[in-house]
Amino acid sequence: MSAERITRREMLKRLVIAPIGVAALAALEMQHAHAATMQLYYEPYFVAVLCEGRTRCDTLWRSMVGDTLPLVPTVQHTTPYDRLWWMGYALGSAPVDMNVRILARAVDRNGVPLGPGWRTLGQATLQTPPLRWFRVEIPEGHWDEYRIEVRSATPRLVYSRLIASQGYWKE
Amino acid sequence: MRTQSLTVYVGVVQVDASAKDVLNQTEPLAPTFVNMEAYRAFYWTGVKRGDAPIAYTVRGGNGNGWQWSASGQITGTAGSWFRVVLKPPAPYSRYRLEVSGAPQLLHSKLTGLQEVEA
Repeated sequence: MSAERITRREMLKRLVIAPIGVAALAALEMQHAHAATMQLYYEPYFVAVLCEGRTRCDTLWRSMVGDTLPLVPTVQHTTPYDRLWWMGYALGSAPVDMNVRILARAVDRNGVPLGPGWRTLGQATLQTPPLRWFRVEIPEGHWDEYRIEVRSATPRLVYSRLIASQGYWKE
Repeated sequence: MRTQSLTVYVGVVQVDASAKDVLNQTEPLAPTFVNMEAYRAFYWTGVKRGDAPIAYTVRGGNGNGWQWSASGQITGTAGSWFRVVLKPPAPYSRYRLEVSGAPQLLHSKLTGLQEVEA
């Protein structure tokens, strides 16, 4: 047992706050947290930060690190990773619509692409409030190179981080 | 368990009406890859050079013959990329990757995934 000295004012604060806290907890949906229920998909796996950068997003398709060269990958050597997530936020004081697209390709043993162009894994419009994080899950893993592009009619500075996991067997 | 990816094959094959594997072997019993027990999944990616679809059949087996197969079509216009995910139900020592279709080149790469201790 341990005791603490509190003031009358502090005691009243606790009495008032406590029932509200209990009510809020009771309303929360219960989720199973037992490790065994998560075992199927959540075996220990490895997560890496592949890339961090920023770009001034404008009407051109730009890589998340800023270039407008469609042949240049944003990240290379990504073969081991089976899931990738792109997270970021846009600076500014108003909501902004950003067009994003995710491209991927495979390369031979010398690092030369097997063919011209890219495979488009997805394209979408992100509506993001100012300074609010967005997250995009990249649906196909094990490509050798990815190019992640953004553009927006409203110029914005976009900060991005790309992470990837290895050993995640959901797919 | 972690996974480790390894490049199993990179190459080009001339596809035609007769079924052949990606090493250009027409003998249906000949394996394309051997000593493959360690692999649990494969990612077959590449580019097709013609508009016509390419039919593929993947077989897995061991010294007693083929025990598993999966087949499908690679579709898309000339120059388009494709990706086929192969997850055999059990580890096999031999695999055969067979294609057929209208004449065209097929540039492809097979990446195998092994499970390794973390």
